Amino acid sequence: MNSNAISTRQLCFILAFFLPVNKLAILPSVLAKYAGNDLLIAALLPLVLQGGVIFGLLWLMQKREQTLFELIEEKFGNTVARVCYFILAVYFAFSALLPLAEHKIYIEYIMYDSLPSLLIFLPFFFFSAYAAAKGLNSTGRAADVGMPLFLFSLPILLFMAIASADFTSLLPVGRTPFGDILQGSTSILSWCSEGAWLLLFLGNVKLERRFLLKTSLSYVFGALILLVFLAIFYGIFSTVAINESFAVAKIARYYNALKTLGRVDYLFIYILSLLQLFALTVPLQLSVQSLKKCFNSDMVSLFSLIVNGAILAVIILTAQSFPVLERVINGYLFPVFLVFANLIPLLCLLFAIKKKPKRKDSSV
Amino acid sequence: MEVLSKNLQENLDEFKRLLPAEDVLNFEFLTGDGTKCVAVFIDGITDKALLGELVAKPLGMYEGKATFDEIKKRLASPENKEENKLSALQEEVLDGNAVLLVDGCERALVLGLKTVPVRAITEPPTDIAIKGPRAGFVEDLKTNMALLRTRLKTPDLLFESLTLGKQSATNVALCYIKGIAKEDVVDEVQRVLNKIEVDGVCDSSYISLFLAKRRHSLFKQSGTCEKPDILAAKMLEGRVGILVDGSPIALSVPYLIVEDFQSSEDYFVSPYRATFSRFIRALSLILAIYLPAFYVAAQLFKLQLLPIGLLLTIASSIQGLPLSPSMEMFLTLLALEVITEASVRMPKYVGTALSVVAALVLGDTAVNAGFLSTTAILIVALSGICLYTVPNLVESNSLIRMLMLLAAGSVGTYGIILLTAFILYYLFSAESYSSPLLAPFAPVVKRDLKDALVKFNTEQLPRRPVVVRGENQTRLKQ
Repeated sequence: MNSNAISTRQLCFILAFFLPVNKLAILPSVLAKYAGNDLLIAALLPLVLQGGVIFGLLWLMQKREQTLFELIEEKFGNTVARVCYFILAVYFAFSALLPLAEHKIYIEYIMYDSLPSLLIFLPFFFFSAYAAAKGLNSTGRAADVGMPLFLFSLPILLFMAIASADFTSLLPVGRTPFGDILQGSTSILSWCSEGAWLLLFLGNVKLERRFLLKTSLSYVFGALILLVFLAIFYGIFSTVAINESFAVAKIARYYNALKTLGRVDYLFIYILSLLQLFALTVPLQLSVQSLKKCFNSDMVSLFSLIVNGAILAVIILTAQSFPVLERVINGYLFPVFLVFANLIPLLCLLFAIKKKPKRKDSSV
Repeated sequence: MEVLSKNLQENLDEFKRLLPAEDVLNFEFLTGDGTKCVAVFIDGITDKALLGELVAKPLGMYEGKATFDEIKKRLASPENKEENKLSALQEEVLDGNAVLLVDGCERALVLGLKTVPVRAITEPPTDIAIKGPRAGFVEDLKTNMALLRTRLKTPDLLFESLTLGKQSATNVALCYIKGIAKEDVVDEVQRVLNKIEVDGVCDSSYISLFLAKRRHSLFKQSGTCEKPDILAAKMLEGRVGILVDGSPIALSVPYLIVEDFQSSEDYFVSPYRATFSRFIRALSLILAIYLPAFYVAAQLFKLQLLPIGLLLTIASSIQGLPLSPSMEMFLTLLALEVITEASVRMPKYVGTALSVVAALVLGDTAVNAGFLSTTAILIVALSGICLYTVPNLVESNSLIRMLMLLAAGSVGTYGIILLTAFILYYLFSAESYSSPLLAPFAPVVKRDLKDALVKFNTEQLPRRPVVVRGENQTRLKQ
């Protein structure tokens, strides 16, 4: 096992706390738009699909302590492995695009009274360029810190919100036509594509006893939290939920004590934003790590600058047109996520099942 | 001439050449049979009374033939050793020991009669405890080693001495408990110390710079303490201590940030009280760093954050202020830093006047004149007090507070969050001698969490901290 490896506990925290945290802003209103009161069913479909992929990769992780690079290299040779890693690097950078654009408008909404200049968001790239150059063990440690941040913020926000929720608005279940539910599910595929992260975690996790059970339950915990959040969100906003983007910043605002305390819920939202920053940098880190392996070079700072620079350019170009970006990615490019987050992991699984286990030390 | 000759006068001339300073004295006396002896020493750092009592007196009374071996036997001083190299003898004299030269002998005796003016053992100003030991380290290395030895009466407590500083020749002692400290950490510290080539080591902080892996880091990378009981406790956990002659501050590695949130008193009071105190310290630190920044960010970018009543109070207090919120806060913080700096360096009898000037002239008058708001002064005062709940982190945290303010003033709350994430990511990858600086929180070390922010009963802590301990893991048999 290489020194860059993360522990089973850290992987559990990533699955339980990093995965749901970037689905709390726009995803709920998108789901409500297509699936209405059946948004839970629409959310469940991609979550189950992602869960299946993640379970398969976790099983593979347990069975074979090989990295993806080694798996591909063994089967197709070094050049193919490098090409695959280059494609993965591009995919991870691409998959970070929509969450970052979403994050930009989210922070503009929650942290400023009036629309700030684009320059306000640019410091993010100083941070992400620094963080993306770090190894996986930094991601693991971020997950360790993320656990108390998550448990200290989201449950409190949910507690503040739950009294205002009317859960009968979720009834009757199944009222929405299945076609609309399915459209809702496909429209959030880009948000449920983190299964691909595990491709680069292959061979980079220190396995512990009951690895599969612990990690699977962590994913289920994260998914359940998201479903509870969606239920409360729809319970509060019901038919106007379509218009309520940035759900997490709004669900607690009807809490009675806020009238006298001020919007203290913002403090928890800010804490959650810190966790969101950690989660947002993961695909960028994976992109940099893929490039590092692809070019067999230690120039991670350069790779990080390239990846972040490219995303920054796109963010600047699309600064005023998030809805278009969202429509293009979720409406037309969702098959990309299906391929990378579902199909490729399944292919890896198939290849790996046919081969004999082999232990080897290496990095990502 | 590299070694001593048989001619006493030649040897003395050579010493005079090597040590021409006026405070290097020669004490001449005769043994009972008339053999001439000379003790070379430095005035003020060698105990002259002992030299007379334990060396000159017994030798003067000895009537037999004064051969070198006989002289050695007749000495009453307990710490003696033979030496014939002039360079080594020169170092011994400079270190405060006396060198006894005997006429007709090619060897000399180094007499351990070093004495330095040592201040009394008092309670140090930074590690004050209401309950628990009060003795603090002093500037003398030997005394400090003795203070440590009296607390750790084990043959496994090892001291390794070395001399650092080309001009200062400062004695440094590496101390650790064999088996409890990690061997690779001991080796690494030895390697680092042996590589130091510097003119002078005036304080242990000089060495801490060399011990740091990241030389330009804002965060310290070795622990500091001023009390032997604290250093002993740290060594019992597996850390390596470094004592420096002339410094009352001991260093310890590996260093974890969490250790600065722990106080020696936490181990003498109930675990509930200790846990509460640690949470107060952590909360205070968060307030100290973030309060001024959030105040500015809330005023500039997100007024909703403040309750309406408070908002109105602030609005009335800042009405007509000529400065922007960030500039107001920055100047107030700067004034606090200046007052802090001045109060440390100022003679004590001027301290009262300084307090009056700071509180009345600067504070009250600035508010009355309409330069500053009362809210800003209140926030800075609270932040200033909170910062000192963790005194060992004041240096870095006061700078971080300024950076946070800068981020808040320019980018708003998002700037604060980004800077926090940046600092955290920096700390995630920072290590002190293979121990992560943020352990046991990142990475989480479950067992070590029992003595981190939360303090468990001592009986629930049978093992030493995982991240710093060596082979011997058990500290309490159950």
